[in-house]
Amino acid sequence: MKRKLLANKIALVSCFDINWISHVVTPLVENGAHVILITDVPRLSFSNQIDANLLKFITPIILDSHDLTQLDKTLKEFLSSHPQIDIQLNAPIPVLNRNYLDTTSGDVINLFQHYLGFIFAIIRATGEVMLANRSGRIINIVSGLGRRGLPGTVAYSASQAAILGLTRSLGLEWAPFNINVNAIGIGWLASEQNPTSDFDSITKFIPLRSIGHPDDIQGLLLYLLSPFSTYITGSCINVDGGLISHA
Amino acid sequence: MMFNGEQNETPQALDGLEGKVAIVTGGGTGLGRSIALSLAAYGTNVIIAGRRTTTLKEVELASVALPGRISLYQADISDPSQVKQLIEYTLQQYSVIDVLFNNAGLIGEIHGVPLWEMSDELWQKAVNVNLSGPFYCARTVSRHMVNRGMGKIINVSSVYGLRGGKDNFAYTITKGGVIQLTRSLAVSLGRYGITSNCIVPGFIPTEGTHDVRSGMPNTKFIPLNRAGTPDEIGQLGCFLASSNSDYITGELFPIDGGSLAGGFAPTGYNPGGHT
Repeated sequence: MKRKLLANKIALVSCFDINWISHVVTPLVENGAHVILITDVPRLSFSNQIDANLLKFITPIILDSHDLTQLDKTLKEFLSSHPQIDIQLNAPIPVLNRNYLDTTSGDVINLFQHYLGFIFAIIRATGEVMLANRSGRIINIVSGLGRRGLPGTVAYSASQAAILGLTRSLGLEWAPFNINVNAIGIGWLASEQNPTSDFDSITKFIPLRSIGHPDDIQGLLLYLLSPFSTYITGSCINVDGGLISHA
Repeated sequence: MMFNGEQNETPQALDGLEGKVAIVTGGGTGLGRSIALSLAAYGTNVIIAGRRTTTLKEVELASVALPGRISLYQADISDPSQVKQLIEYTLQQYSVIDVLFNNAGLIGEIHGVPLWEMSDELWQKAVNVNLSGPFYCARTVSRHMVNRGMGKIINVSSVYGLRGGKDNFAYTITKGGVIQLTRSLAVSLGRYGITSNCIVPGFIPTEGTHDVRSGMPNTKFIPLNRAGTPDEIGQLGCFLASSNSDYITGELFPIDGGSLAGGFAPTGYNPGGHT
């Protein structure tokens, strides 16, 4: 029997958007990884979106996404007994559609302190394990708004650009330790969990003339976790139907 | 088991390569050779095009045990009439062309030439091979791909297509053009189901870079502290040719050991940083 791509790999995944959980966890588990899922989504809410046969390969850690202290404590306890983390994947943080003048301090704190704070803390904690093992892959999934602008998304765009800056600099900082840090950029998406019908007006601006689906990232995700992509680090590659190529 | 450096690891399962037909220009040596052999290992039938039949024949021979068939066609892709013949020959052989790899390019003789010493002939040769060649190939195959409503065009540029290079005018300018060719192909042909992407290699030693090795970076200035290998480009080529990458188009794939992430400080060295 052919060995699976991610056999014996441990992946720590952060995902705070119920629309993404099954799409980021399933390809990892299907390819042989065991997933530690850090989320603020109740287990009952996402477990019915995932094949029942795969659930046993997922260990959820349910946290309040506003409580960094709890995160630090939980990660410390968990990682002290789990000395192997091969993959650390951060799913997109929930989108904030809000005009600039309507964006409150609370919104900014939520984006930059809570969600980005969580990602920074998770990477730092798992990075210590990867640095000790001198091996690892870190992948951040970010919106294409990290590279281009869009009215009504000022704070969110800035948060995505922040993750891209982290990706580039951390890619360089941890390159000597065989840790690859990359990002996957996404464009306009619709899914079963998040169906949207008002995309007709923008489809004509997407070169492939179709809205993407969260599963479209799976091929690139697995390539970036394969043994043949170890020479790629600090990069962001978009899966967006060509949207960014004429942005 | 760790990720890096082991030879016996499982490759990614790629769909939609078996039985497909690809053209790889410059398929006799270096990155093109690796792309062709990697595709054939997945069962893709490949026409390798180039000027030198000796090296092309060696790749043909190296592929005999692979599930995909590699066959050569002698052509200079800087000549539009020869490009036309290459496309016609491939269609005669296989009836379809699923993937075009624009890989052929000049590097050695155009590297390290001061501006005032760059002859008209050498400049024109660089533009013809590195930029007009990929344009001719894409133009000629596009009608067929548009009629089928599918196809993948994969260009090979360089990190020098995204940054300046000292005394490296012809290479940087033509490789920058290849990146813009990629984007405009994506924007123009996406509506017909055709994708176009670009491999952006960093330092990958090959026969072609042998003459300019002295001008290449010491690997200690590459963040991952090593040169890349043609095999890594071959596998990336397979991913881009496969259906696993169907929603990706107009995109650049730097495979450079982290060099571009540092922007104007390609070494990634921070004098004020940690040791």
